[in-house]
Amino acid sequence: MMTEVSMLIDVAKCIGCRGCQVACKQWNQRPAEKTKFTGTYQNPPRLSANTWTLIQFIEPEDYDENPRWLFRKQQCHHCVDAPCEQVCPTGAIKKLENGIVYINQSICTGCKYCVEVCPFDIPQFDRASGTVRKCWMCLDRVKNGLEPACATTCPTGAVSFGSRTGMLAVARERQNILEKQGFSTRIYGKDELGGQHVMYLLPEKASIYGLPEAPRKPTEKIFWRWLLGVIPGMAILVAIFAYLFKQRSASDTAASDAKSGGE
Amino acid sequence: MTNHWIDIRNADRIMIIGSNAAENHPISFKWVTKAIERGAKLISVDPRFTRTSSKAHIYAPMRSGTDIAFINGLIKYVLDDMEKNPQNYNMEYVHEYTNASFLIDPAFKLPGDLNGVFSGYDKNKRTYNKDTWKYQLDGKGIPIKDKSLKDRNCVFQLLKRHVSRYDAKTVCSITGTPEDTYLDVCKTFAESGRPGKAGTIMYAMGTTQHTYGTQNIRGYAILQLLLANMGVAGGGINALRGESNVQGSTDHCILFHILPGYLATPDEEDVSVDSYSKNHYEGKNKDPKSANWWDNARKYIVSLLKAWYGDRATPADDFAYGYLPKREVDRDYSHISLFEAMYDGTIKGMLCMGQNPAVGGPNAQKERKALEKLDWLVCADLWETDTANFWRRPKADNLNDLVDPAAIKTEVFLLPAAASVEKEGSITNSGRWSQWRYTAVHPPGKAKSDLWILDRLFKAVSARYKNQGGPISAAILDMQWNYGSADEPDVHAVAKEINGYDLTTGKLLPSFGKLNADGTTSSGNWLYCASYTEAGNMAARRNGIDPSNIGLYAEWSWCWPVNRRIIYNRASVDMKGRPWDKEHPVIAFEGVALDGKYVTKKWIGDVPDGGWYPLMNPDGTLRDDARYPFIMKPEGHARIFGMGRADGPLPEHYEPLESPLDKNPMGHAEAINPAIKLWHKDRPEGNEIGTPADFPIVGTTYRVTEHWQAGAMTRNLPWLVELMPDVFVEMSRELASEKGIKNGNRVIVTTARGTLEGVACVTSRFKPFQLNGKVVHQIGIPWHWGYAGLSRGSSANCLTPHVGDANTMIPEYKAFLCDVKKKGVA
Amino acid sequence: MEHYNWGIPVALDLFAAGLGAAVFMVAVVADLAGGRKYRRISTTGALIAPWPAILGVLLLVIDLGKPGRFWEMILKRSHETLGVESLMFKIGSTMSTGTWLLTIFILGSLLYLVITLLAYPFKWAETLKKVLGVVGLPFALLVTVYTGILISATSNLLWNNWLLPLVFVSSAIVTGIAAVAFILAVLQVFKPESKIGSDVPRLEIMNSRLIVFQLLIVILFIIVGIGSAQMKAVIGSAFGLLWWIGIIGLGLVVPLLVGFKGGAKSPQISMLISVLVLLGGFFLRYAILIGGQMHI
Ligand code: SF4
Repeated sequence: MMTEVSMLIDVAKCIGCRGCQVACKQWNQRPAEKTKFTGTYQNPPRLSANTWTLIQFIEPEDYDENPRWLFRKQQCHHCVDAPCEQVCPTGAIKKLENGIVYINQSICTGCKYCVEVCPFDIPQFDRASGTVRKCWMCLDRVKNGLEPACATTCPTGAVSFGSRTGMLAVARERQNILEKQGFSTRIYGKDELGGQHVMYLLPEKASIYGLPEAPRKPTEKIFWRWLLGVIPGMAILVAIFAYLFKQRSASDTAASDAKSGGE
Repeated sequence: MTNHWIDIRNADRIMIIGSNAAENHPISFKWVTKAIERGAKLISVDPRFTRTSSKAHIYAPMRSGTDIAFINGLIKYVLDDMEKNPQNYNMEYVHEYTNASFLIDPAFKLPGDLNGVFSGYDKNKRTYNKDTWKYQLDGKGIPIKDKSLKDRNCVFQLLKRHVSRYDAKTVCSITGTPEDTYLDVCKTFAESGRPGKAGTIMYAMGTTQHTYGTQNIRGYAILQLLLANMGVAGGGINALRGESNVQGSTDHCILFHILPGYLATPDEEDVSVDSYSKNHYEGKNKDPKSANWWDNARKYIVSLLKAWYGDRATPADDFAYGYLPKREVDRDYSHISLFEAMYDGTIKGMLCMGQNPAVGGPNAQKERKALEKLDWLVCADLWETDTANFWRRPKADNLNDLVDPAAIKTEVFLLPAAASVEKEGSITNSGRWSQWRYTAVHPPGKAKSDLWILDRLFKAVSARYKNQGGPISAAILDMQWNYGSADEPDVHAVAKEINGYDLTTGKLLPSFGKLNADGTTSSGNWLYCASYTEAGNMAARRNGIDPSNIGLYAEWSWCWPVNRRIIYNRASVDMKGRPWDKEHPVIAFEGVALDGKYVTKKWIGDVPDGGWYPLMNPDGTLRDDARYPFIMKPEGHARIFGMGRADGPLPEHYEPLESPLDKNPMGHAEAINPAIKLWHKDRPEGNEIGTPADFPIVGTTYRVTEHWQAGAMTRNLPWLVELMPDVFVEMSRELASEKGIKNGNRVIVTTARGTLEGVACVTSRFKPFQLNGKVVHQIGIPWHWGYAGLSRGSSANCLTPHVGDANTMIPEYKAFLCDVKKKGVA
Repeated sequence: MEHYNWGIPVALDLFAAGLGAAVFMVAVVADLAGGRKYRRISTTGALIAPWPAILGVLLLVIDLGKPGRFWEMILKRSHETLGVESLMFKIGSTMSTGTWLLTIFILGSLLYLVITLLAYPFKWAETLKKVLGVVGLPFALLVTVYTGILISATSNLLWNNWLLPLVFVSSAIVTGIAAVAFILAVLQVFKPESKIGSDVPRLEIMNSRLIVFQLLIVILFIIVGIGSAQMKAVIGSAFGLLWWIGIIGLGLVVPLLVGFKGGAKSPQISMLISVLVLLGGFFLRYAILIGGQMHI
């Protein structure tokens, strides 16, 4: 059994240099997007099939009371209980033993279901290849004993990589340090969606970073949803049946009322 | 840097001022982050809230160009606090290692007493006669000291009087910093003065690129000396150099006023090695306990001449010293002067290697015009730069409205150059570490290394002189040029020549202590002597062990001087040689003591700044065979009072050349630095200066992480262009709403010299400054863009003026006056 | 122009698959309720039921980034060799269950069509038709539900609304009835002398009662989802016009009024009313599908 790997993103350490964003493109040979400066440093504006990781630049609403500029590295969370993998109708998305969730480009049909299912809006459809792409935690590097490109590049240690237990330990240790310095933090991804292989140490509320406070697996309670469609649907059918049944004689009347016989 | 990158992790207080290290030196934050993890406090001082500020415990906004007021106020805070709580400061350091106790000529006057100038000012020449800026000497010619620091004329008291005018309220009315924030900064940084604690100042171009940039740094130096932060681990004043190898290029004399190893360039009065040495270096010290290292300069200049002229440099011939070009006394040959001379047609040709002045030079429109006056221009670069392209440049900010190429006669040559990873050689980082690198990939196409290009150029010029003769052709033809016969010159031969040889044995020298003035040694750069020895190429060492535990990594690469990782480290120990900071000792004396006296010499840790005995024996008696710690100064003491500067021995606040205020807020007559050259007065053409009435907004320029300098290297890389696709103008919400500008609008910025078009970046991170009830707005623009390459945009330097620092002539890029409006609005 | 992850082809599929399944259900229920009495309804329904579903599947295939790999939804490939390993079926993936449901439904409804035709000459087929109808009913119902589950079991803030499946189910049935009415009305117009369209008013009246229900569900759907910016955009922005006029006004309220007035006065008007219901049904899918993907 391979050990489960994980990435820890220590948001408090990120300086928004975007070395990781470029390293990702370089290692994975994703082409640059044509962008415009729109008034924020964040660019490209959002993840895409060619942009697998992206630094969000956030000037919080309450800046004037508490000036800060927040940066969060967006990328696939590699969930333990990965909804994308569960809904992939061809099995192109696979959860590997080491925890990496990856999309086999030779199998993906480009149905784009995972794109809509992911609670973090991560997988993106590539019009050029007709498949869906996302961060694969540099599986090729990891297999060869290297860290993902972003982790290697990050100058501040905001991105680190190792075994899941190791990363959890690091996260807890950092949490203690920050606690002592007066910041309470949350290890996002420790338990969310069954735990994730990319964990964030968040010094602020998750929602400030555009993360759902309590991410939910969209497929949970799916059975009830089916029932909620089926039972009223059946009721409608019964109603139709009853109506038509009651109207049978009227139908006969209508038929005989007709001036000319068509049958 | 007096210290080095890794050492930042040892700091307890970090002040980043005049620098946006997180954005422009992201790797520095590896160490800043480690320091913060240890509990260090980070202070970010900047006109706007940057990515650096985002990590700071205290963010202090400060109007561009007011560093001196900011720092003088801090110095005042420290001096006041020192009086109340001397136990929180290292007073032994102050009176023993700095010139605080030295008595100054009683005729010396401070600007507070002389309406804004120091004594000796000549208004017509705009220069100082420094006769009164000197120590009082005793009968032996040794400076007189008052270790009690009470004498009215001692440096300490002078400084106290000088900064007494900079109380927090006054300071904040100049800088626009909220007073409580300012006091928080003062208190927090002053805490680094406790014995055993260390504070570092990280600075960059935001400090230097002012008409008083040198004085800004002087301010830091004074503060750090009072806080005993020089020479210690986690201390120092650390210049974050803007390019990976700018430290190396400065060491190897890229600037006009120095030869390799910071030897002065000779001027007309230095007619011989002897007069050169005497005029600049010798006889400056009578105190036997001062090492006065520059006393050795004669050895260095002679060894340099031996490296250059080899056997032709003989004692009989004054070591070919006569071949060296001499500058006119006090004439400046800096960037602005060169371009003004080009503009006049005095300079006919330019070799432009790895530089892009059409984007990077101040008053860029004028400099682009100056290029038109050249007969020829050679650009060696990775891409066709804006400079190489100047003959089809836009007339103004409209990128598609071009000048007429037919009207420009300059012949332009473009030499494709190899990038740093495409050639072998050393790169010296800001921490003075010379690190050897290898060719990772071969240069594409016909691109060649700079060494190759210079080698061919030299050979071609020599051949020309040989065939056709010419004035002082011997200066070229006698030059020693032995870098092998291969196509690519032997870079190791160059590195060895820089290190130097014992010419009697032909062996590489182990260190500059072995250099002689008699012609028996050579060294292309005395500071680098020890970098390539018989033991091998020191810069190529890659041993990652660190027995010091403070991150010296003494066997990783090599660092000048003599692999000393923290310079002035003799100040990190007390007079008995014991480290102030027991946790992070840089060096420590471990000689044997007998009867209270040291009898053997042994320093451990970093290479000490001179291996002499400590100043004091364990029993408290002073030793005569010891030397003061600041060996590069004639008096052996660090200078709080710095008489060497052109514009004053202590920093005084002046406004930038273009200031939003109509007079000096310190209340005296001199609004701007009285010792700067006024180009707009001497040479008005193209050097217009704006007034606050027309241009009420302060402008500044800066860089972003995603682009590099004048942009040729990065504006051509799609991955980086994607991140930062266009030039933008950062401004406060308040200014934007005053001007009817929305985030993302295209805006036009104007100064007296030019215009720029960019995208508005309206942000809370910029706030208007409140200066004594007056609201002053500031905007900021990254200066990477130009008209050539993949990502094109207006150049911020079309806005900046031709004016430079009084000492260095570095241009004042960082503060000017401008106006901004929405594009299309009259 | 923004590219939507799921565009018009998927909207059409959601509409068409639901429509086909609903038509089938209407046919079967009519057959069960009235036998020969509702033969016009049940035969029309049986004749049209498979085709919208087939169209929907084709559109889904076209919408794939790699249409040539559509079969991978049925046959599972190995990650290592890329060879076929087994059948592909994932209960947790609505896309997968939907694929199977649609496949079964299409095959079943085609068979039903054949048997319906056989039932004219052959008596025995009539019983078979009833049996097959009853067996097919749950599959058809599941297909209509599937269209809602497919997009509601996602992280899309607009779609992830527990009422969405029901919105689609009831809409499917309403459009299914309208589709049958439409065909009957058209035939009536072409054969004015026949009484082939005589069931149309009854269907209209019946549908108007269902539309009341449908309106209630839609309003509940809006209330449940109103917290999301997406929902506000859909009912407020440019989509608002489509939503209030196209879907609610013309697609539901007008047919409702006509139905409560006792049905249309002429087959031509009946045609028009049915078209309004059908268009409304499509726009409903479209507005929700695209609206949910707008970047706000
Ligand atoms: S490389 Fe590290 S510090 Fe830079 S943006 Fe990425 S996560 Fe942040």
